[in-house]
Amino acid sequence: MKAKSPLEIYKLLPKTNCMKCGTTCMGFATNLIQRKQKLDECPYLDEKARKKIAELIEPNIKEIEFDGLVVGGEEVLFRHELTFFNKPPFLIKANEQNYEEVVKEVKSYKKIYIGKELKLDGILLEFKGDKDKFLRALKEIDLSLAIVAPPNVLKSALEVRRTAIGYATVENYEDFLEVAKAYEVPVMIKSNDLRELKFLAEKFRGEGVKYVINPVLDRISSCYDRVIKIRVNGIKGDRDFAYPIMVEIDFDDVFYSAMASMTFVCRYADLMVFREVNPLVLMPSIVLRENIYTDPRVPVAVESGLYKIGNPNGNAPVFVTTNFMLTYYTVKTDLESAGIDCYLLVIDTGGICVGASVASGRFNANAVKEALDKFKVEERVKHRKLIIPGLASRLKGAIEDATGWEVLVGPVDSSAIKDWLEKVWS
Amino acid sequence: MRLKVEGLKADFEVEIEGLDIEGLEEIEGLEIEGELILELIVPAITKAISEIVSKRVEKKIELPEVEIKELEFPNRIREVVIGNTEKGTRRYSVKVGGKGSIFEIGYAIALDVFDTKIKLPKAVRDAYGDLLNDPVEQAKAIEEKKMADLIAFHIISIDVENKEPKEAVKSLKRLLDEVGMPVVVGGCGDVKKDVALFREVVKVCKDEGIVLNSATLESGEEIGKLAKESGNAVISWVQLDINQQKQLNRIIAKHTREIIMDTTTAGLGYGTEYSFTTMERIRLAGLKGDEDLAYPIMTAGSNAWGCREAWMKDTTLDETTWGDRAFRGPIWEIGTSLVSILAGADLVLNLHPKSAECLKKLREEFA
Repeated sequence: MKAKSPLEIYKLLPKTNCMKCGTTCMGFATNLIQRKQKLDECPYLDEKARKKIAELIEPNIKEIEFDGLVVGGEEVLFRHELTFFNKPPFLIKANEQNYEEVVKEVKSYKKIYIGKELKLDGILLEFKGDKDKFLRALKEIDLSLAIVAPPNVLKSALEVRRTAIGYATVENYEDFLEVAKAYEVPVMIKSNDLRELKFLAEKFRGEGVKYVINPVLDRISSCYDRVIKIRVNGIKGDRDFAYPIMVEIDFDDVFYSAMASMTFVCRYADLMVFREVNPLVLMPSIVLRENIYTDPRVPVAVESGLYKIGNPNGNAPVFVTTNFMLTYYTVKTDLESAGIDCYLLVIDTGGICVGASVASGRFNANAVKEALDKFKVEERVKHRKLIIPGLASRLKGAIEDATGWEVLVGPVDSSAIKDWLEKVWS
Repeated sequence: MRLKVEGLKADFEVEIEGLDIEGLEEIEGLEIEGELILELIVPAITKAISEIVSKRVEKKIELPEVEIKELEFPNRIREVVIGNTEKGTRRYSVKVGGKGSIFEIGYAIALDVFDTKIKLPKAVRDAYGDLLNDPVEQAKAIEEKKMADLIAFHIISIDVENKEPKEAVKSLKRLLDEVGMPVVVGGCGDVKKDVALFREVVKVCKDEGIVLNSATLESGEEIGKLAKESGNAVISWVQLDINQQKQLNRIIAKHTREIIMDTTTAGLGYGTEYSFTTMERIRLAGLKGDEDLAYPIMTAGSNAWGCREAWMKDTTLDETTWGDRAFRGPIWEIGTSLVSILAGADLVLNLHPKSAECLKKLREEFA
């Protein structure tokens, strides 16, 4: 974004501190710069100021919306410089012949991760030659989608559904330009040649048409080279390249597909298309996407505390774990799915997992004692037994000395708790 | 007009009369009789035509020049050579580091070998089979089949069997005698035991140019000294902390600049946001001129095997199947490694040969 300091925004705001947006004008200006609030949240902006501020806070990479998806909108090359904002939607390829099956698969795909359901985002619908069926598919598919079809099919398709269209190339761009202008939809431009992409970008941008750049994933290495060049120059002020990038992963080899997809999750894909719903490729990619697009300004931690799992009574076991969000949710899910009524004592390790926090010393006997006292665990249970993670086994003695409680060392992975508990707890 | 048609069972040529390649209008109105043939041939013809047309268009339109700005950095990462072929007995050496950009991709690959039997994931047991009975035989197979560039030999018997370091390094001696690859020698992770171990390690690998894996803030002073005196390199290991990483590098650098950093690699999905960003920031700092951080980076991709997604049979949770474990494990390890490679890693440790194989192929592409 152009604005470098909140002051640039502040002077255009009403400066009344009316708090309608939930904060002061200065606070609002700061939040706009950090993209934590939207401009519309200020009800007292005149048109001129709004336009000016909108220009000042427009993301370095254009943010484009179509059919319920948001792509692009990035500000930085490295996430620690601010954060990455919009996770690249994952689309699966389908066509008018197979879409019913594919849509079903896309809808049912699910990966549970830190208490969230990670899902796929939609379909890239390709035209294979049957226009009637294609139009029916566009009507029927109740997922977000983008269209890849020849120019002579696009008008009827867009009459059914307005969304991004592709692929515009140097051969056919004039037709795409005409349709995109008439229907006000974004265009996916495609070439493995940066000069051609630049040519197309100039044409579309010149006519006020938004676009997504597909630099063609032929090999990971050559596509990587193009993607880096496009994004670095887009961020550095090349206005033609300041648009979202998409990659389409279409290889036979599952290992190569997984490498391709993970490469571009880390490096600048704003939209990703997969050949099929293959968990071997999708699971690591969807988890990685979650990680890379985590806001580094917010710690990945849950509140420390004493959490109830099921309906624990005074004889229920007490498990100790860290407040790293992933550890917490993993342990919680395992305890719940094993049907164990118990307490989970979550100690503050600064959002670091068991292994690392034991090694660094954040997970220590004193931290356990403090949590025991703070959350009054002895008022909840009659026994005086704590179960610590297997990875924290070396703290057994120290915790016993510090707390006076008996310490049992649980399994290294919480998936084994059920069997373990049956042997040691009655 | 004759067109070569590809994509059918056998390539053949068809003749289309009246087709004027100079005018697209003609092609759009093209009709061929016979449905079967039409279905088979049309995609191929379209492809051939589009190739011809694209050549034609290239002549017509004027493509703009693209002025590419690179992200420039004032500094270069130091280069560390592993494996001494002159003073030592290594067959070849491997250079790591030397990069001048955060986007530069290049890395050496080491496969993990353990000096004693430990519980390994099924996918790994299946891959190595009986070779796991003898670490030296395993390393020899890795060398013969060129499965990796280096051996990452982990001496963990000092912990799991409480072996005396003097006794434990005998297998390392045998390894160095029978295998010519450069080696990274690791301990068990307990600082005290590892220091005692490395005192013995350096005695059997004087001037071999191996890498001592690893020195920590507690042991950096002594292990740095040991490395220098014995003509070996050292890994500087800190848990995801840029300032501590600088501090430890400085301690070691008083003795030797043959340093490779292990900034800590989280298994994919288990803190990747921290380890990716920490590594990226350390690399960027080095490239921007912070000499204390301008060292090559090592990543233990093998940490992936701590993640249940890598080893567990399949999900019992309410979610989509995870896919065949034989593929899933290596993919998780490849992913864990690749994320680090993209953040700048110069040396990758892997447990599964398939991971090393895939990453080797990828590296060739980038060469």
